[in-house]
Amino acid sequence: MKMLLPVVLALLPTLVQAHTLSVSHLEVEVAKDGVLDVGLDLAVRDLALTLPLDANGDDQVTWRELRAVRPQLEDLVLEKLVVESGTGACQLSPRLLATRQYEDGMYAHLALSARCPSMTGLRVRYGLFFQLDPQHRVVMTVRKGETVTTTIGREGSSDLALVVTDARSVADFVREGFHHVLIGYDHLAFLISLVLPATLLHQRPTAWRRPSRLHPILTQVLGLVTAFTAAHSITLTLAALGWVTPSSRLVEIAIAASVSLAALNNLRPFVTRRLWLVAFAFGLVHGFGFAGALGELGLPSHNRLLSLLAFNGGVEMGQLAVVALVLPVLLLVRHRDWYAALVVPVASAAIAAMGAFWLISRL
Amino acid sequence: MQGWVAAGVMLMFAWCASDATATGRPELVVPSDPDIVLERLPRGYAGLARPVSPDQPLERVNEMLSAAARTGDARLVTRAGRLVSGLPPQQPEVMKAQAYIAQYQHDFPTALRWLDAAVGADPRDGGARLARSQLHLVMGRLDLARSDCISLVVGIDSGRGQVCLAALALRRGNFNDAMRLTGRWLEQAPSQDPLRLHVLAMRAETAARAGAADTDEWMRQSLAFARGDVRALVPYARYLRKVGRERDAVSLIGQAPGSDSLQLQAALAAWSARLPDAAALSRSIESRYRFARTLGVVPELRDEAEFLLLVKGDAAGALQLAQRNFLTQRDHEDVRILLRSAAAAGRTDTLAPLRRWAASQGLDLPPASGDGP
Repeated sequence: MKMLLPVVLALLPTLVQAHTLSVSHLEVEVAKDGVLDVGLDLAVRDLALTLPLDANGDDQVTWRELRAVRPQLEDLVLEKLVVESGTGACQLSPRLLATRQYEDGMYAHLALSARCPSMTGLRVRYGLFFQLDPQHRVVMTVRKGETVTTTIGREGSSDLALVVTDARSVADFVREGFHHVLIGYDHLAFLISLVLPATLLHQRPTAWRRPSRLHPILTQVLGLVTAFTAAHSITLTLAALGWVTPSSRLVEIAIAASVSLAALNNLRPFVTRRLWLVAFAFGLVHGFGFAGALGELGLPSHNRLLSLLAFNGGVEMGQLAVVALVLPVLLLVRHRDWYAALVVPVASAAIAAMGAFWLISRL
Repeated sequence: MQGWVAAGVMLMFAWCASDATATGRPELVVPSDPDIVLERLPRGYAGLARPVSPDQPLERVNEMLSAAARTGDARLVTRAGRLVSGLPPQQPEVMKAQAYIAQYQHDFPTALRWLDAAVGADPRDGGARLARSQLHLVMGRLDLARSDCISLVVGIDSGRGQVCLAALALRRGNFNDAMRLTGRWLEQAPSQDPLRLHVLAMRAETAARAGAADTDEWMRQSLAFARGDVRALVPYARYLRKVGRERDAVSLIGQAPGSDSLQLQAALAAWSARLPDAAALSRSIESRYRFARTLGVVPELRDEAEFLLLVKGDAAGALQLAQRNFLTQRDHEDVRILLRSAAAAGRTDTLAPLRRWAASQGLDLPPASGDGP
């Protein structure tokens, strides 16, 4: 009977509750003398579930009680918060305990100084509460002069790292977008699935025609790439601005599915006309994936739009670079019998299998 | 070409782009009085900090879920979810805990799957059947809820069966039946039965919806049984607002530990009564909704719809949220907010899905300003 209590009582139809999440706020400020000022705000309720904070058990936390657990609080923070430079770990020293009243309750503020062996390649890694609470979030803010960058950290990206030495320039965002496409094996696999048969035209299901003129091939490739780009630009923008926040797990699953489906379409075409519509639909999903990568970088608050444009531009350049490398080769080999008979099906099958593997591993 | 497309799409949003993630920092305070109270904790909260006994993790899970139900604190549910994920899923108690966690996160299909599994493992598990019937009610499947109630009454557990039928009667607007069934249960059941708060709250809610003169008394009984419990406080505050006693609602909530639902009730009451702190409370709620979305969390849609409708005067926005909410939740308050926002927006033409569903379940819809089922 005892075990039934929470389930039965909680499923009252009129009492579905709003959701107060566990959130911490971490601020890092690069001071003029090269020392980092680190401020960490932890919800008193989170601490009350972690440390013996309410010592007298009266369901109230006083300033005296918070001060009494300061040594344990500092130990907890020093264990789970890491600041490091390219040449070694920084020495964190607690300086001040204070309080901050946020909208969702009172927070304990612990101020620390970080002395680092060098000021290059600085990174901050936060790991509090994730092990206990999978929905915990940390709002990480880095300030250097007028530049402020904010990132939301969550479980799965608990190995959070922020570059705090220099503010990212527009060129950095272009580079990151470009880099993300080149290391984003699932995006690459999808793109290659689309381009692989693009130098051939569907004659009937499972049969291909090799056009002698370049015009229809280039039109088809341009259409596919443009549709994919337009679609991922839309969702990347929506997600980066916080207008749409899909579950990253579902996005990753959908991306894996898109890779498999695009490759299977080369083996047993179920869409032979208006392929650009397929590229557009799946592009919407991939855009959310790009947004995840951008989220890890963080958009600076002072020129968010420019940084977003730059990142998207970088993604496009990356895609165009891949197409520019692959397409001439495909154009050269498209008249070979083994290309349509062997290369397209074998490569597509391999990509479909990879997509299926990613799909299962992400479920 | 493609560059222009991308640039065009993004420029479209540029005009409206807001700095959602850059948050202002509240002032730092080093209190001078060592005994100043920083935070009032929900009852029993501190006890949850002690180490989990390795041989009794389910006990801690249940403690956390009970505290979450009392307080509306989602962090307890997610922490319980972490603990329960390491337990053997074939245990019926684990299944029910998983169902509760999924339900709390509004993942009703998953909650239902867990409860189906629990009933499958033990068809005579009255607790799982009652929980499943309540979930069916929330999802608007009154026929399936009734089926579980009948199974309970006929041969599994007549006490729980009465509670189940009372909830169904209340949902259908059969207030006399609901009062009779809850009244009988309250007379017969032991005074410390774990279902007592559930039934008292249901009895009070029945009185409120029926416009009964003794509503206050039932609400107070419910509150006396579980002082500080959001399951008693929120319906009472909502009732006080409904009958125009907003100041009483504010004072009722005043000393309770912080909770999203209570804060919303306080803000709505303060707004209706034009109290001096109404604007501050409203800003606070608005900022919490915005912040939740920044964190990738969808706030409670029904609450947000009511906030938009009453405080912001945004009937169209409220209707949009109420419609999204109705896709998954079809309880009394879900229907009411949909009707009210559609009426306020002058869009009663959007209510066709609601009417079809109500007809399929044999429910009469109340007028937008009324109460009813």
